[in-house]
Amino acid sequence: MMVEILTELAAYLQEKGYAADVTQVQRGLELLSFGNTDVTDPEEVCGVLRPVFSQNPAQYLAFPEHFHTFAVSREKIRRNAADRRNLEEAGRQRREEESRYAARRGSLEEQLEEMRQRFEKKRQALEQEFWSQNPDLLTRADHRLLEKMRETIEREPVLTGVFFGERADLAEEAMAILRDRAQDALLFGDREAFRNWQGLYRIAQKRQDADVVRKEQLDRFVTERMPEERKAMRALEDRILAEKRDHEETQKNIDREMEQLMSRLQIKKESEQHREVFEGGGAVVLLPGTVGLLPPGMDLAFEDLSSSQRRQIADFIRDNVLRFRTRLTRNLQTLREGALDLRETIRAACRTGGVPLSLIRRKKRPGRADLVLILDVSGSCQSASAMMLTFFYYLQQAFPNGCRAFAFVNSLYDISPVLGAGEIEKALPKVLSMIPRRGVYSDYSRPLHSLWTEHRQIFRKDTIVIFAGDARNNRNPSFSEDLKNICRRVRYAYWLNTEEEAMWGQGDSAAKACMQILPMREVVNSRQLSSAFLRMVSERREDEGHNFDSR
Amino acid sequence: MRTNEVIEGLRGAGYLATKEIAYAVGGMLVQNIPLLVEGDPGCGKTCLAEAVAKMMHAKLLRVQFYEGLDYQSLIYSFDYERQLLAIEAMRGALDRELAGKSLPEAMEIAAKISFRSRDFLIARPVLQALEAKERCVLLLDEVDKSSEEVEYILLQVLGEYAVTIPEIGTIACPEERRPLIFLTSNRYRELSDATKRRCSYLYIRRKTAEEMKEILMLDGSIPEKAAAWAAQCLERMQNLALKREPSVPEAKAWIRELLSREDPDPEAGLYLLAKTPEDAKKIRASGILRQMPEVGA
Repeated sequence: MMVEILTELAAYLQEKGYAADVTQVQRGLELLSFGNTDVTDPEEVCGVLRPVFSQNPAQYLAFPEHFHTFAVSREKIRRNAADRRNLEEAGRQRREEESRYAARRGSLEEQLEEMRQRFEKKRQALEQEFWSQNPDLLTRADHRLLEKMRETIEREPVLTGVFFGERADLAEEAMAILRDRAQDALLFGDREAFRNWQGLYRIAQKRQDADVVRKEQLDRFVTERMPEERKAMRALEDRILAEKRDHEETQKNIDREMEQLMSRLQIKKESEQHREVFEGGGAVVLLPGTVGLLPPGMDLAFEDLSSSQRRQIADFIRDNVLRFRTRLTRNLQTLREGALDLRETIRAACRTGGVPLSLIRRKKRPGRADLVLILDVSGSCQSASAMMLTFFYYLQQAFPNGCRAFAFVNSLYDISPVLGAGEIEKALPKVLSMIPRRGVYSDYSRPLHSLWTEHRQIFRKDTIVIFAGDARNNRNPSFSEDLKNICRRVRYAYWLNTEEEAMWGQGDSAAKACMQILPMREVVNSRQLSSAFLRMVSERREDEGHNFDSR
Repeated sequence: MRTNEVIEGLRGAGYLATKEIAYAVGGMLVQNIPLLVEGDPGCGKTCLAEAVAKMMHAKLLRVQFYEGLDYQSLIYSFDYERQLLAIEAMRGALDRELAGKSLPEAMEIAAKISFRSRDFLIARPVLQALEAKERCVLLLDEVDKSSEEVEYILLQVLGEYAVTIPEIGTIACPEERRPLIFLTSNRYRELSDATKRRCSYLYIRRKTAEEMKEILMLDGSIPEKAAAWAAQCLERMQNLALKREPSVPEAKAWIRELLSREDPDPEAGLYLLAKTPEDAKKIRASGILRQMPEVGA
């Protein structure tokens, strides 16, 4: 159970950029199992797991939130699964109930039918008995009349029904007919016929009156003779009704429950998808060695970036500048022991009677990685210069005492104090505003010359120099001599060209000439910027022949 | 140890631990996995290791990392001078022993002599911690100040509590005596993933005014009123975007300085708080220190 939860948590955290691997899951498991952790207290579990899974401040600070989100979604998922099971169960119950009810009802109805048939048979018998005991209320004269008129009567189905059948209900109709006939007879002056019809009318009337009474009598008669059956039948009918009510009640309850479950399941669709996302993959999303997840817009040219993309990339650079720093200095601060200084060792050995008791080593090169950044902020590089400045800003932050930044259009400005002073939002506009750019065309020769003549001391053996610009010199005097001097003096120098490579060397571009002196790299989007910077270190060896490194 | 016990224990050792810190330390005591502690300077990373040592009544071995630190001053080295002296001392004896022997015989005798044995080994703090008779606390302070290579040298120690010396073999620490290893970092550079994977992680966040007040009062030398005011000042200074924010120890020195004066002027003690001229200017301009209440005991 715990293993399952922790594995899921690890997968979830991986989605969030944590390097949550098996070791960490194992550690978490051990802590929760053997420590004095109250595993029912989410806060404590979170507190215990936090040091295990986090690896940097951002992850550490965000951990409780991730943990909480995970716990909530997991709880939801768990409930969801339970709901689904319940729903299935309810459906099954409903079907079962249906068939159980059908079976019960069927048997009851059969019983009832049987009883009804029996009842009917008995009733018929009783009716006959009744009729034989209770002849109708007609007089003998009435019977005679009926016999006399039989032929005439049988011609009229309605009359037949009333007089020879038991259709008292047709009496009304029959009486209307008889009235007509009597009137006709009266009109024709047929007295006998009139009397006959009148007689029949009276009989019909008697029938009608007697019917109600007789039916009651019949019912009473039948009821009196078969009370048990009636009672049984009524009980059975009641049972069927009760059964039906019961069934309907049960169905309704099940339906209501199912409806609730359904609605809850629908709401949870989103969390289900979420789970699918972080459970389905489960692949280890380790941060790549150099950078975190790349923000969108890394491949867009600088001028095509929206302001939000710019911000994202700035954040990205900030987050990764520490890594840049590690990479950059890795090759500089080596553990390489200083070579044995034989001269000094022998000199020292003289003091200890010829025994070289202390070995003297040459001083190691101090592992400093001073940076000098030189940026062209002229109109032609405008779109790139903001991004480059952002980059320089964070580099300056990462190398607080070992970074100098200069910017120029046609004369040189030291922008390190501005970049080093405040927040980036203020620093960048300040830099751009302190350098006059309107109506000024870029000139590389003057700034580079002043760089070499006035700031020579900052170019030391361990310095890394980065130029950024399009190398378009507007036909000003060549600056390659100063560039050469600088590159000769420093450890490494690179040029990040903010113009597409195809344009290099065309028109007033001095790119080709510069390439003879130092390695140049095309940097027109953020991806190139970050990769160029990382490669500066790794490609160093190849570049060395290229570089005027005088070591 | 339960979380509350850890908090109490650390308090007894003079360290005010939050729950977060207690969880991390508690986990460390259960599993004995090195703990990497990060946070702003002065947030109490080093103190935490010291307090844990005090709480556990264990010896604290501390290594300050710096650029150029190597395994010889970190883990072990061979005693060169002793090796030389041994050679000098043995020379006569060897001459006698080898006199009249053939070359193979002489080689055989010479092969028995090793100048890279335990006798010549000097245990530096890491090896000392692994070989200690009792469980101790090993503090690797400011690991980020050294190069990445040093981290790699330490990987075996962090992962297996063992050191491999080619001439001698692997020296491993028995499970029950494994030292509690603290690594601290100011994030001067990012530590390698390999190191991080072998450690638990604790980030000590900025202290709140309330916590700072308690810390200032912890040793009883600063009265509550003064501590509260100092803590308030520190908290407000956090919003000034200073280059170097004053930490609790600095504040402690500052408030003690104020309390020791006849006529305390908070701005006069500014030299204890601000570490750059710009910061001093900012603090002065903000007027945070101006309204000092009656803070005397």
